[in-house]
Amino acid sequence: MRLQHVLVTRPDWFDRNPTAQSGGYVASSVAPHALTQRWTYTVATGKKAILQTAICIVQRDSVASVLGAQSSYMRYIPSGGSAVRPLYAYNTSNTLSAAQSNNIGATMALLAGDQIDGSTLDDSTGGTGFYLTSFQGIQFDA
Amino acid sequence: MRKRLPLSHDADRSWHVDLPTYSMIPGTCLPITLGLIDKNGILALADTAAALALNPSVECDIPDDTPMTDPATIDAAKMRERYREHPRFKRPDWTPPKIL
Repeated sequence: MRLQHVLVTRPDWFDRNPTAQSGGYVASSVAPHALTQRWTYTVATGKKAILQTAICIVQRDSVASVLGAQSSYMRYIPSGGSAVRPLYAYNTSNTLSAAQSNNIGATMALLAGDQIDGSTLDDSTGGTGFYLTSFQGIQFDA
Repeated sequence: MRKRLPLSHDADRSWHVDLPTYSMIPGTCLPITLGLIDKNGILALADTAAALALNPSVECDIPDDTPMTDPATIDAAKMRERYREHPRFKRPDWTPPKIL
């Protein structure tokens, strides 16, 4: 009789029932608005996710009569933890087409119950702005 | 899938849809109301209570596999089970918003 040791390796994360995840918001000529959570993504039970790209952009489309701050940001909220903002684009210029952007790539692992979201805000009076906040990642079996 | 959902407000998320995963569709906020609600959201100087009183809503993309009990009702029990590590969405007193 021959005894044989069989090596069983766990599949890589990208082979464990992966599903693409994405979310975002892009709009131009947006009037000054209250802080608004434009998108969110929460990792489901029994899953993990790799956040692969995320970006936030703000740009002034038309000048404000009373200038405030335009912002577009992404938060990371670990399950049961406090929110941090790894991406923040913030514009306080009233010059037409003044823009700020911020992006990351291939840097974050998300665990079950972790959440990311994207929000926008403009507390100016008058004027309009362009906003982009989005993410892309892969969710897979934990 | 695209659904119209109520906008909620709290101190942490300000204006939002009370779901674990969604993306708002730009230009779909209703009811458009001078000084309070624009097609892209609640206006900067709007009174929160006055805006909430109008039952604002927005179209969103939500996951196609969102569990439903009928075409207008998200299955609360299955959602709580799906997100049982999340401090809010696992709670028995959290109820998913009604699809409009």
